[in-house]
Amino acid sequence: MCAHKILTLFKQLFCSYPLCFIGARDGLLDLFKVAQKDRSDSLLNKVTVGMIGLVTGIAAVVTDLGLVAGVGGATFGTALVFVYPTVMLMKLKNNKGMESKIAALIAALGVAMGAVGTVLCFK
Amino acid sequence: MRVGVTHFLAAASLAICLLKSPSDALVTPATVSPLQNQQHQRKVLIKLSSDAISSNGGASNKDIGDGTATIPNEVFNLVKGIVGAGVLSLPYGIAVYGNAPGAVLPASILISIMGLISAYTFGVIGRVCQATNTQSYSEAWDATVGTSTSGLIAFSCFFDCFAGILSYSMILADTFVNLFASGGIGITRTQSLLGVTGLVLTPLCFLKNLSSLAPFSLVGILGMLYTFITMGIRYFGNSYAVGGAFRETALKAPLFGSIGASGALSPKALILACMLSNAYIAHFNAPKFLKELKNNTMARFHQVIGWSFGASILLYAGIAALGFLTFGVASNGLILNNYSNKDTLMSVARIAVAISVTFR
Repeated sequence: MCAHKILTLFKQLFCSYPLCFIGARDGLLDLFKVAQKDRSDSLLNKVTVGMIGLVTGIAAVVTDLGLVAGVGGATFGTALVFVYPTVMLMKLKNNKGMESKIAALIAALGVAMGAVGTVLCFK
Repeated sequence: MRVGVTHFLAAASLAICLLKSPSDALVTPATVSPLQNQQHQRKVLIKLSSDAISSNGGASNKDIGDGTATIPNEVFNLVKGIVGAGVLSLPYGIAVYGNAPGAVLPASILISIMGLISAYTFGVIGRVCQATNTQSYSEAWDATVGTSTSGLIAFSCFFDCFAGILSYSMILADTFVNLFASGGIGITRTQSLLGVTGLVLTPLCFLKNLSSLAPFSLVGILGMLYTFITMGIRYFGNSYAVGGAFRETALKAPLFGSIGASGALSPKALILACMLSNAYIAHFNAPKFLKELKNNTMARFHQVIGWSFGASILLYAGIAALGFLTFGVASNGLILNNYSNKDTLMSVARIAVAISVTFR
């Protein structure tokens, strides 16, 4: 499971460049459903070189850090922080108490903020 | 600064209040998989254990869980995990909607609100993990929502990490341009980017064992603290105000207008909100922090969250305010890019941030 492996990598350091990089690389391989046994050093090295090239190329062209932070935060940042946790909580609870309503509100807020924020970042 | 301290105290109190929730709130979903059935059995045991603690007024003679980390240890590590170089773009987030010093007030409130909501959802992940007896974000998702949507979590993680390394590359490229300029050497941003990528980042990305980088972690968080203090010295010393020592050599001179707090009513204020939604992200690590906490009751876990997010809110509000109050609407997406290359204290801050970004 992709995120699980990424979490393992996060055990000793948080969000440093190499860890973030490896997190993204493993996430990419998981998205393409590359099994662990097929992840040879040769394949990892090729993907590493490709991703470094891609990141460097984009970083050379894009100079607006605010744009990157804004778009990143608007999309999956809001999802990871606001939407997914509250969805998990709502799935776990079968009552409709006050906290479920608050969770639903936060999830809706996350979705709305993500959509509007992404559009605004490009204006 | 008084505003910042007030926000911190209010935020810490509110965070603890928000995080408190009834221990009997978690119940089994109507339809459960066999895996969830097993987890439900574990959950009942956990809940019984939790109730036993509650009935004892929260005190227990025997520690819960097998974690060894104390609350101060966890607070330090969580703050370290939350606070990243992204905070240096917050002054720009204020400048998007306002250009007068008054714009700092709604920004501080927004920073506090987003921090509180982030703290709450961080706690939710811990509670879900405890209820389902899972130990990671993805496992908790699979146990509650199902495995059919696991790809969503994988893609979110990939994208978030990718945006992170892209931001870091951009920060390092800008930082080394200014550092070389401080030493009288002129290089282009592309040269800086290629140099730091080839000489530093690429070898790091090929490392097979990253544990050797751990000692640099402490240096990284100290670097961010140093940057915060230095920005304060420059603001309160009026170094970039009219007649200030570095006013003439500032890379982008301060500029102020008349749109203050009212600017927050503009939809553009949402850009700051979106930046903040990523600024507090450490949620993948919530299960880890719960697991490693000594006597990991929810009450103690919530204390860790309250102090950690409270301190992070203070730091974020402080850096955003100091950067914007110094440079106003001229605040760069990376606020260090505003400060003069002749400013030795800020040059050291650039080195500190470079270390923080690379090794934190």
